[in-house]
Amino acid sequence: MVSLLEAKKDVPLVVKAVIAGGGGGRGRGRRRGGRRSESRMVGLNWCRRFSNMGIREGAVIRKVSVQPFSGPVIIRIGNCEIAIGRGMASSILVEEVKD
Amino acid sequence: MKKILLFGNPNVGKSAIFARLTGVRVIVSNYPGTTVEYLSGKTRIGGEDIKVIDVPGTYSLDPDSPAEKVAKKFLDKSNPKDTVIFNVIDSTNLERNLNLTLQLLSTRFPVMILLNFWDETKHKGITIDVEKLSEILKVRVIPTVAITGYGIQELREEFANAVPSDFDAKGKDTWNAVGKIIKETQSIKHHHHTFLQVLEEISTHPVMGMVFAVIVLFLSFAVIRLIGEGLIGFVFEPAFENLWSPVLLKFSGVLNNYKFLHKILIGELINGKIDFYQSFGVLSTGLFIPIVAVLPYIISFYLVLSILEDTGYLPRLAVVLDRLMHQIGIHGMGIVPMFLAFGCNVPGVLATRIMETRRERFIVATLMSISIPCMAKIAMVFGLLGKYGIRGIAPVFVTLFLVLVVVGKIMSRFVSGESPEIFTEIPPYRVPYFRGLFKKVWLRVGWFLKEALPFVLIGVLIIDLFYIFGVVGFLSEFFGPVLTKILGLPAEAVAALIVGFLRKDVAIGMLAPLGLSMGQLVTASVVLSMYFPCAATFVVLFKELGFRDTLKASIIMVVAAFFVGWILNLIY
Repeated sequence: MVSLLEAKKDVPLVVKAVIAGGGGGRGRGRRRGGRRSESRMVGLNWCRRFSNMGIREGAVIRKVSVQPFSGPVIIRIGNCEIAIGRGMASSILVEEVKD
Repeated sequence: MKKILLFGNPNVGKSAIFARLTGVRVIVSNYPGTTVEYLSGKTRIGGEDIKVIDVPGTYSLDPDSPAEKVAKKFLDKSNPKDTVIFNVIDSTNLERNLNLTLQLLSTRFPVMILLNFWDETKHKGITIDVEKLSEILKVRVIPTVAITGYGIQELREEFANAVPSDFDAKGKDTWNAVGKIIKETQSIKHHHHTFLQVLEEISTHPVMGMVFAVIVLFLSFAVIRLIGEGLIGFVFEPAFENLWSPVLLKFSGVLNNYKFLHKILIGELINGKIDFYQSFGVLSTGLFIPIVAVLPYIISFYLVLSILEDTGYLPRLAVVLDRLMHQIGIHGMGIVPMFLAFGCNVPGVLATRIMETRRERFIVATLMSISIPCMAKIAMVFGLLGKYGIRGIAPVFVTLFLVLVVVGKIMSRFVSGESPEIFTEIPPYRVPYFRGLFKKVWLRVGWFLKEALPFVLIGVLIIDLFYIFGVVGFLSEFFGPVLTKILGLPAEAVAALIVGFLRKDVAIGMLAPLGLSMGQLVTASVVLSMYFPCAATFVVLFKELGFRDTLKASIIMVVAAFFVGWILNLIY
């Protein structure tokens, strides 16, 4: 099991786990500097956004390309390409599909 | 009135269906998030008026972004008795789309499913058993191709038969349920890569992607300039000089005894002739600026932008530029509102809603108002400084670009809040549908004429009145010394700064009769671009950012504009 960042390109990978990230888990309603931490609410709550797009345990995905200088990673799931940041990519654990 | 809610994932063609049903002309593009606010229209089905609402795209009913919150609100507000949900699905992405479908089915609203992009399934070797899908989900399923209108008639006929489904995925894992449905209804054949897919690979390739982006951007600007100058030089300017000018000259003779009216309508005659850049009457320069100097560039820009939008290149550009954009505190998708801002800052500011956090929206909106000149400004800069060639034009745009980088760097450091990483779907490349493309360009050009033309005429009128009643003289005396000392501009340029609050193209046009040197023109153009947004942009900034952030953005603009203007003055 490796993170998507280290995984091989252009081979089918099965998602083993998606680690909840963003430091301190779900921060909904948590206050910081008097204002609710917004990216906790919408941006870094990508665990749920992943699952809404079908990236969940057991899903088969492919790493299509990795942009240079720690740019985004493009993955393909079904017929759909999704670009995600490296932080997100490193929290998706995958394994090569063996048949 | 009964109503239809169009629900679906981003970029599945909801707006195209909406336009088909209602005849309301809306912007349709090939990237997620084109529609950030709902659109509402009416259609007639079976002799009955029915309200149609185009809901922003959403992946699920958990509101994760501002657009999705709007979507959720609509569902909460509606009554299942008089509401039908049209769930628009991208047939080439059935699996991902069905997640939302199952959630919608469990709301107990009557649902119809539209398998949009039906034509693309064939090219992609996808077969979907429509009957079977309908049987499993217990609702009507209708294949559609929104841009050609395929399936829309059937949609109207079947509308009355829409029922709530008793398919229940609640309690079960939705994705498992989706997986089962897919197994029973969809089969995919392997197929060879098409030319478009090869292009897709190149344009996000780690190395080639950058090269591709540079080529696309260079070509875009070259084409914009070529078409813009072509239209001005061969169509609009000759038409004005040969047809409109003689009419105005005759009219000028009639008005000879009415100095006041002459000054306002025709302006000053230069050597007994009308000089459209310098006369400054409402009917001379007032019409010339929007129609001859600016409109051709608006047409050519929107043509190029629409092609980039409809092919699906913009999200790929966002991926390629993501790293660079993070340097100024936003992720790659920030390129989309910025690109729109080159046409006009107003839609640019509205499009900042595709960014997730307040910090990002503030940064993008401020950066574009300060350093992205809209086509109207660009066209006027070309018009004024074009005679000096690249030596005159380049300093303006290079300066604005440096401002973008520096102000962006500073803001990314000091604006509080967070900037998440990029997270976006990348749609497949599509060949633009030309009728749709031209409709879209026409729609946007129409907006320009409707929104801009009156303001330009009013702007010119105000200037004339200012001159006639000596307001300019008074203001020049008052603010002139500041202007002269800091920016090295003549005191009269203060009038341009004032009109700039209304329209920037008129303001830049006002520099023409002042007889400025090239350096002064460069300084004035840059300062006029930066110091404050025009009235229309200010209003949307205020709506989108609220009072405090608009105030902050305005302060940044004024300070930066005068600082940069001072530096330019030192250089020239």
